[in-house]
Amino acid sequence: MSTVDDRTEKKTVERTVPEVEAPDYSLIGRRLPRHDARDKVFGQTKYAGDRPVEGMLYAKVLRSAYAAARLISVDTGVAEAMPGVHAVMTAKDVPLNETTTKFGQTTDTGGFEGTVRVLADKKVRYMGEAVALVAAETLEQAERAARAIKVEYEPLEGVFDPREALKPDAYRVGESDTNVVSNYRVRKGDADEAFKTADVIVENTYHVPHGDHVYIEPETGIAWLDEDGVITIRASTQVIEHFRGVADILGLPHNKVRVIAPMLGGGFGGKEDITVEAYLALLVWRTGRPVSLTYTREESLLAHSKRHPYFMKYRHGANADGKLVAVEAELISDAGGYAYLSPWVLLYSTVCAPGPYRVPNVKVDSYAVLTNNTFTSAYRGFGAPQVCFAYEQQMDALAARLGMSPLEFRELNYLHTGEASGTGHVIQTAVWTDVTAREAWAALGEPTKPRSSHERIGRGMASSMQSYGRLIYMHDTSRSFVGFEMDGTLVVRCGVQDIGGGQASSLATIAAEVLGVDLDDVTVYFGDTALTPLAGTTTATRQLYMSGNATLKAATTVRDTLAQKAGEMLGVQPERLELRDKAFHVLVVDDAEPGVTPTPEPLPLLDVVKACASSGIPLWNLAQFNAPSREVEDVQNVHGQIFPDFTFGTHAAEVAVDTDTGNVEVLKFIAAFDVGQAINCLSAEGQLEGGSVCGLGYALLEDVKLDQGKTITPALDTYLIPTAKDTPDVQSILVESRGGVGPFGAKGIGEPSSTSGAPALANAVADAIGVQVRELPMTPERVLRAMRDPELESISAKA
Amino acid sequence: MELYAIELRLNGQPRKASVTVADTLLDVLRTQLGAHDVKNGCGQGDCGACTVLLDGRAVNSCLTLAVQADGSEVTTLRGLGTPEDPHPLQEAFVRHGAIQCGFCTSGMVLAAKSFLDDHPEPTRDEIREGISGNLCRCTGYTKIVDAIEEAAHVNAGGRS
Amino acid sequence: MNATQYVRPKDVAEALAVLGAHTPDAQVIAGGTDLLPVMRKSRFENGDGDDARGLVLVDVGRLDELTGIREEGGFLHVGGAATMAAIEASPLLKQKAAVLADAARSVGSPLVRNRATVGGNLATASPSADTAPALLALDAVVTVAGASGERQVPIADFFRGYRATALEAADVIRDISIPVPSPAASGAFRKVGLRTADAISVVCVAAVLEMDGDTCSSARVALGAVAPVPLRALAVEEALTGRRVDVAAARDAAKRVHAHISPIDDVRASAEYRRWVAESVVARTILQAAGIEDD
Repeated sequence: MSTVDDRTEKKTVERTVPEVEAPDYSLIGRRLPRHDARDKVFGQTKYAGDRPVEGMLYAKVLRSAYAAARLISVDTGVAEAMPGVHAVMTAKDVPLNETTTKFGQTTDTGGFEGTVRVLADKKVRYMGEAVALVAAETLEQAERAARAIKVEYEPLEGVFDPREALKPDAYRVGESDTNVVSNYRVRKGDADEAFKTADVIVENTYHVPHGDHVYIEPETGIAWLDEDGVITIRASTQVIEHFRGVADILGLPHNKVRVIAPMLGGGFGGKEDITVEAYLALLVWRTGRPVSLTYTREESLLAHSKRHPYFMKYRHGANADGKLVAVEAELISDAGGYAYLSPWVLLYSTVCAPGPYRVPNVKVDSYAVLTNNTFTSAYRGFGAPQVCFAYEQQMDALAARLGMSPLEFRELNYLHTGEASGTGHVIQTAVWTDVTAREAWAALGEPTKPRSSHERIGRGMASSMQSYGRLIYMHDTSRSFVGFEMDGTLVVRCGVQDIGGGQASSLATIAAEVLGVDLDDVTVYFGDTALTPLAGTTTATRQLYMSGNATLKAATTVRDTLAQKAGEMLGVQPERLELRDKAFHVLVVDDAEPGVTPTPEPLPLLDVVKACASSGIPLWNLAQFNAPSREVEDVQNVHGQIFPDFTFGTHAAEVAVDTDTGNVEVLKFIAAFDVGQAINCLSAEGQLEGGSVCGLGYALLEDVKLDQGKTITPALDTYLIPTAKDTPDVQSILVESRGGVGPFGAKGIGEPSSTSGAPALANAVADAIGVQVRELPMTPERVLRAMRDPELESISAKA
Repeated sequence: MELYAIELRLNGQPRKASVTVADTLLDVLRTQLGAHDVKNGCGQGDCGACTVLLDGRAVNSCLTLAVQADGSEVTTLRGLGTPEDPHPLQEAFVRHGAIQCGFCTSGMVLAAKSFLDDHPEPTRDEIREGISGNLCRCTGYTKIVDAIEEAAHVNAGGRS
Repeated sequence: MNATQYVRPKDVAEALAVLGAHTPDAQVIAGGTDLLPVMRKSRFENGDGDDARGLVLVDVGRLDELTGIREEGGFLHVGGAATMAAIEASPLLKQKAAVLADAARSVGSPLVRNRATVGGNLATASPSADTAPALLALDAVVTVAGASGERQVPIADFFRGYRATALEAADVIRDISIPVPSPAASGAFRKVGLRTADAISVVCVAAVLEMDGDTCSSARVALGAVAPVPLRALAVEEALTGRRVDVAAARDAAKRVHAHISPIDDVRASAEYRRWVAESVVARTILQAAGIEDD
């Protein structure tokens, strides 16, 4: 059914990647094993649950049996008296049981105060909400005691669809008179007018489901009271800054709570909110004993944050010449029982709703609505993947209507540097979506021939824009310390949380590059609020940008200090010195004065270090990097620059659809992204490959099914994520514009790589079967239904 | 609750533990025998993070009762190779960037080892089948397959 | 399920004696891949209260009597505690009963297959047990050892109802014997799941056809996951027997599967989808077994 598109093939014969000169780096951009890889491969790395503390108690959380109910009473008498039990706590025992969602950053941002409760009080709002805590000598005793807590519920009606929850007479999930947590509007130009004269209009609705992060390491932590009375929490967390929130919950000063984040076994946004930390702190505070808490996988699937389902209505207008003239989108997200980060996820969706395209008239209205489903919060992509699934299928539908190939239509409409996004932000950094699109499409190569009469082959592409760095009105900052030891080895201290993407390793690489040492000469101390300068959250694809720049700044200051000293020692201007291979090399200048002594030999770095040390010159620097920021008067009417920058990229895929079963087999999967400058090529490719398979899971397999608020996919045999057999080799193409705002011109890649995979697969499936599947996941049944149902509009990619 | 005294060899060393019938091998390895390199990802055989070699074959230690391992050889990641004497799989995983967060690594490497013992010259598809019981959420599997493929070539010329 | 005692008998006779002594508080365990998730669920949902009666687990997983795979007297014998991995890799079974080897290979993951046993697969009697359709298509006979001696249970009589079998409380599956298929027979196994690996079947089909040229002289077509028990689709078999097999005949015969199946809606798939797929996959499995290209 799918044939090679001759027009597309011709265009991509010549490579069209602009040549941007690659500086001669020692370490940056190489394919190097990460500095943490060896410990991990020899089983030496200790994750948060791998260091038991002597005398620790075991905690268990009792969770709500109902999605919506009044909490009449919680009787803990029997439980408290059971063998081995040291504490049973409920809402009344929590000094500050209600907090508002905050980022845990250096400033508070007003506007969206969404209530979050530590332990349920008076009402439960989702099934799995924490109702009580138990700490006992053994895990079995804690489980028994939790079961012995008598909770009286009065089940309430509840509401489980955000569109229902929007209605004026809907069940009220929270305490206010609306279920709407936040809403935004974008108005650029006049979309209503523009639609009147558009030659082609495509209008569709899209739906994407709840998803779970399924980090292989479930939530876990251990906490204790140290000798100075500081509550110390070692947890698998993306945000050590939650020490402030935890301190507030306990009514303690901030300097009496310490959070340590060792290497995480994955985060993906699911460990961005407080998970175990508050429960641990409460039980330590109550019992005085160390306490450990690890969620079971079922508990994690049931009770921790989920990816937002979205109901999306999209309308696009274009002219016969192929240019987009207008987009109108209505986005409704399911915030679940509590707001958490829903307002911000919605904002990201709103900003990215038009996609990486030039659209003169934009109208977006978006709503995040409470329901009694599991609460939703941060998930890799943070609202961008949902809208990408919609706008990229819109692009293919428009292309088909206009008789153009998917690539051709997009190339006519891609944004370029210097043009304005959907919110009117003129993007001055590299916008190389078109380059990535041509690379990705070309890499598909010759179409695979069907292997039987039951097979249809299809190919598709999808491009995305995804921000990196925080919302610019959050005044984001990060700090890093870089310092030499007396023997010339290097120490980096930075609060960065390493969630598996090599966050710590990148800092080591940057410091080593600037200071001319080997990667093995660097030790990175990370993730400790007591001992490492705070770097902010590992979220929002911000760490390379923020702590990378802070580390670059600190390392550069140290380098400049050393160069000054080296210059004195060599009798040359510091500007003539290059630091590499652990020595200061004197750069030869052409206009050497006659009579000047010949170029000095390289001066060993160690000599300079020692000279500085003995003259009291600091061999270290603590730097703070401030992201550019602005104030925003009206958050709700979104316009102008909202993010520091975006990463642009494209996925391309080829699939084989089984016409009997609807099964989708992915034959080829390509990810081409402009990463600005890869700090470590193995790591950057790893993000592309991992993000692609994240998109594959979203597209084909993953669905947290909720029935009246009850999770009916409670374990990993019903909530399916991709195995090694479900994906082909992912071909990762690193495009390097060197035009990002991160260190060395890097752009962030952790989330962007996961945004366009699903719509690329959806477009490939549509190409194979002639029908768009506008709902995820594209399970075999959903695909078979799409093939069998004659009512569905047929979209053919070819005229 | 009755306790059973079990004896097994863990990474070549004789070890003892006192267990109930319901204790899984995973529980006992982590809580009594200090084998924190064995990970708990799901507890019911769906993720493979808890993989160990039991008498040479890769199994989910969460689906094996500790009492069933009485008298057996158990090998964990730390027993497969060390920094001084690494297994080719371990070197290949590092060199190919096949490790990100590392939480699946223990199970993945052991499953690969067991698979290569049975399939010394595998195709990439066979490798994928061989590790299909080990979930990874970070890497997308491509570099893991690269690493196992390289280790198979090394094995063909050297130690197993 | 409150397991409090564990016995590792030295042979089947001892296993039977222990089971008999503790019935109904005794439970056979081999690989444990079905039993442990049940124990886990029971612990988290009900708790193992002190008032629950303690179960004795009788481990037959290591008994040499039960793990062999061999050919003898015109039969292939697979021990009750033979693992899926052993079955999948057995040169004998791959050559003479490939449909069973293929079915074993589709169970769970390689890790699970290193422990899961064919006896356990049958005893748990999940409607979607993957080896069951293959054994039905091979006319297997289950040898059950019990308190009053041994008895032969044809596989067609083994599954009595939803998760109910011909096994009594203190029985052990000793052996599954399969008449060596004639040289003219060939089989095929297909499984439809939601994921390429490590997935519970939504539909699985095993077919063994004896072909005389283009004509089918005997057919066995069995399905799993589409009814409370794994079953043979007799009407499909009838439609094939004595007929020339081609694409049209296979599709025609496959239509008759609906008389036998009563699939349900569950979290994995709807009943309607299972019906669509049962029919098309039966047709393809028949053609694959008959060695005929589909058009």
